[in-house]
Parts: sequence; C-alpha cells; structure tokens
Amino acid sequence: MRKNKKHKNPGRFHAVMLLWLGITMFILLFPILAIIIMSFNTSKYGTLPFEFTLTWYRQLFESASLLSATAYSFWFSLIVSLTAAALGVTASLALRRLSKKWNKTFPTLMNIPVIIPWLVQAVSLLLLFNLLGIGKSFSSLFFGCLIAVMPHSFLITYSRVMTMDRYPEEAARTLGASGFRIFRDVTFPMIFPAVLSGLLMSFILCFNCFSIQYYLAPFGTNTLPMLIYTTIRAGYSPDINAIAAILTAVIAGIIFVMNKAGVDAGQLFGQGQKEGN
Amino acid sequence: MSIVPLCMLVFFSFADGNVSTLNGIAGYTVNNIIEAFTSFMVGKLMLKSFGIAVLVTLLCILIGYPAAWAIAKIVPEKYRSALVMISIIPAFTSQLLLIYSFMTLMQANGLLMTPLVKLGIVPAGTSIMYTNSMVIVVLVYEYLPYMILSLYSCLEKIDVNVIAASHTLGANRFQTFIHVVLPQSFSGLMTGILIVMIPAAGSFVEPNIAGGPYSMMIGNLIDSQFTTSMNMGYGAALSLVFLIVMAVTLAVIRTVMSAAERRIGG
Repeated sequence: MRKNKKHKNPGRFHAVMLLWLGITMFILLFPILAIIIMSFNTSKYGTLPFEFTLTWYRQLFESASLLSATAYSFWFSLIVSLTAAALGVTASLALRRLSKKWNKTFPTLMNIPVIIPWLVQAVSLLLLFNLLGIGKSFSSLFFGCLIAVMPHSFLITYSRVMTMDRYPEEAARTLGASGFRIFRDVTFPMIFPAVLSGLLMSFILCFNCFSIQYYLAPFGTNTLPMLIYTTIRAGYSPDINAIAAILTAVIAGIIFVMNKAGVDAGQLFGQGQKEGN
Repeated sequence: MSIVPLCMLVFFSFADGNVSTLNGIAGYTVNNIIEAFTSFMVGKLMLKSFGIAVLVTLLCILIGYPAAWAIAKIVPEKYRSALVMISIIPAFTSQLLLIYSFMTLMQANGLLMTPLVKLGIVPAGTSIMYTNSMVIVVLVYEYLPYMILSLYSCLEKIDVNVIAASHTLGANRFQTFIHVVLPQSFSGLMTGILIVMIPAAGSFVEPNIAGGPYSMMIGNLIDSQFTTSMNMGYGAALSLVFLIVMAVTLAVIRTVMSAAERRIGG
C-alpha cells in the first residue's frame, strides 16, 4: 500500500468529493422538490409558512386548460416519437447495407442539427414553411418537431444496429425465412431496447421542445410548455405546481423504464460526438 | 433534414421585410445583412450572449467535474445508476418548469429566501430575481445535468489502474489529474461544452421570464424579429451572424483544447 503513504489523506479527499456530489445533487433536486412541496401548500404565491392543502390539485382537474394542453402535448409527442422511431429503424437498417462512405457521412449529417440552437432551427423552419405556404399549422408543427427529435432517435438506434451480431439474421436467412419474417422475429427483438429508449428520448424531447412549438404551433393551439410560458409571464399560478409534481413523477417513471430496458442512461448524452459507433 | 432550412437561412437573409404565408418573399435587399454585420447593438448583444454562455459553461464544468468524478469513481457501484438517474430527471424536465421552479425558490418570501432572511444573511425583501445574475444562475441550473452526464460517461471509462500506476510512480494528486485524468476526459469535456454553451448562447426564454429589462440577449433580438417587429429577413440575417459567431467560438475552443491536449498529453 504505497499509495496510502504517498497521500496522507485519501479518506479526506474522498469525503470532500462525496460532500461536493451531495451538494450538487441537492442543488439539482431542491427546486423540483420545493415545487412538489409547494403544490401542497395553501399560499397562492408559493411562499411560507406551509399549510397543507389539495386545493391546487382540485383546481387543476377542474380547470380544463392545463389538462387539455397536457393531453394535447402527450398525444402529439406520442405520434411524433413513434414516427421518429419508425424512420430511425428504417434508416439504420437501410444504412447498414450501404457502403462505408455513406456510413461515415450520414451520421455526421444527422449530428449537425444536434449542435444548432433550437431557436435558430425553429426560426429557419418557420421561414421555410412560410415560403411553402403552410405557415403555422399542425403539419408544420408535426414536421418541425419530427425534424428536431429525429437525430436523437436515429443515433441511439443506429449505434445498436451497427454493433449487433449479424449471425442470427444470416442463420434465419439460410433457414429460408423471408425478409419480413427475419425483421419481425430476429432483427427487431434484438434492437428493441435501443428502439424503446430512442422512442422515450424523442418523446421527452418533443414534449419539452418549447422553441419549436412556440414558433410553429397554429394559432389557438396550446401545448403544455406554451401554456406554462404564457402563464408564468402573466404571474404566479399554483396549479402549475400541481402539474409539475405529476410530470416529475411521470419522468422519473420513464427514466426508470429506460434503465430497466438496459440502456446505460449515462451514455445517452455522451453520444453527440461519437458519430454513433 | 433540418440542414435544408439552415442552408436556406442564407437565402432568407436577403428577403425584404416579412416572409408571409400568402405572398412569400416580397422583395430582395442586402440591407439586412449589412445591418446585422455592422450594427453596434448587435455586436454588443453578441458579445454579451457569448460571454454569458462561456461563463455558464465554466461554472457548469467547475461544479460538474468533481460531481461527475465522484459518481464515476468514488461512489460504490450499486448507487451509481441511481445517481445517474437523479441527474437525468432535471435534464428531462421541461425547461420552462425548471425556470419556474427556480424562480419560485428564489422569490422574496420563497422557500430559500425566507430562511436566509431569518438568519440575517440577506436583508428582507431582497432577491436576485429579474437581473442578469438571475439569468446566469438559471442557465447554470438548467444545463448542469447535461455537463455532469457527458463528463460522467467519459470519466467512467478511465481505468483506475492507470491512476494507481501514476500514484505508484510518485505523482501527486494534482499531477495525476493534469497528466492522466484530464487528457482522457477531453472528449467528454468537449461534448459537455457543445451541449451547454450552444443552447445557452441562443437562449431567449430565460432572459424573457427570469431576466429584467437589461437582460436582453441575442436570442431575444432574433425572437422579436419573428414575434413582435415582424421583420423576418432581418431575423434570418441575425441568425446567420449568430451561427457564424458560434462556429468561430467553437473553432477557437477546439483549437485551445487540442493544443492543451498535445501539451499535457504528449
């Protein structure tokens, strides 16, 4: 144990690092926890002292606007993420058959939008849709969000497709299975965890991507982030606390599912640079 | 797919006035581009926005690096995935809810300010709400999880035996960090910088909600061309300038990083 002789206090160093980690995690979680606590507080402005109440939850379920915006965001994000997943799987499988050159270029191209701020993406899409004459409408909202989340969904699926074992598919082919059958019984089950996490990732991104929705949603349509934006600008509203508490619980659930699906969630954010290998 | 509209920004920069659904582009002009490149106010806002973005990124690295290291190497393995999941929760929460919850916390008489006032640390009624510092703090809070996660995914792969070997060969903690750990974490650092700095430079929601009258950033100027003053051609030109400044900034950072890598790694 020469290591211990060299460093007088390895224990102290570790303790300091753990304390730092604890403080950081506290900073990350405290505002979210605070808002959950405040959703049960009587004060209308989220101020102390604390008195327990369920008024805000009742108000949330009685007033239609927040709930209908949530429902709209949910169904919309579901359609977009399912489309993105289907396109991602098709593109990955098609790309696998193409030459090496394509396999280098295409993921790099897909990576470019990831590093463009959403504001600029949204603005350029709005200009394009205006020129095409569809302007702010459901179809531009749909395609805008699809374009924004597509790279993320694709890169997760693609990296799995490129690293998967090819022999089971070849065995199936040798045994006389049709192309569709191979996909249904061999390929898809093998890439399913990656497809699922890509789906959840794009669902969450689409649900949250305020900038794109803000620019492309047709007049009169309110997605949840847009409604929160207008509400906050007008002032404090305690039923947002209630919806925030519910959403946090749902997000925690989704992350748990992704973790169980065998995705090392910590790696999701390290992928940007690696061109999906 | 989204590369097409981005390339078309160049084209739209020449549009005179609005690009409307009915008429398309009314006319062409070079004034937008000249204005965007030479205006003093645009330059000032650009400098401010990228200054804020760099500051936010540095703060995220300073706070996030030790935390990511602790998750990757110090915490017992069974708690690791739980901690990663905890850091993902804010990353997956809507940006607006994060801003909102942070503002709730920071307001006078809020959950954070009340104890501070009671303890006599700050005078009653003060708050950093609606200032430039509030915008910076909110941005750090918002992007810290991304930095932690991208650093973690990189630090996790470092072999502990290499660090042990460095210690055995007589390097102290600082030398080991500079010559062994840091060079191996450059890729994670670069990813982190990309996913923190770029959106931070282009933010317009945070200054709008959490900032005050003097918190305007370049994102707000671009946003206002599309929502209030309706001068889309100028907005496109501004976005173009923004992308160019961003590319230059990133190129500088990349050069500095690779120089540092050669210096200490080789």
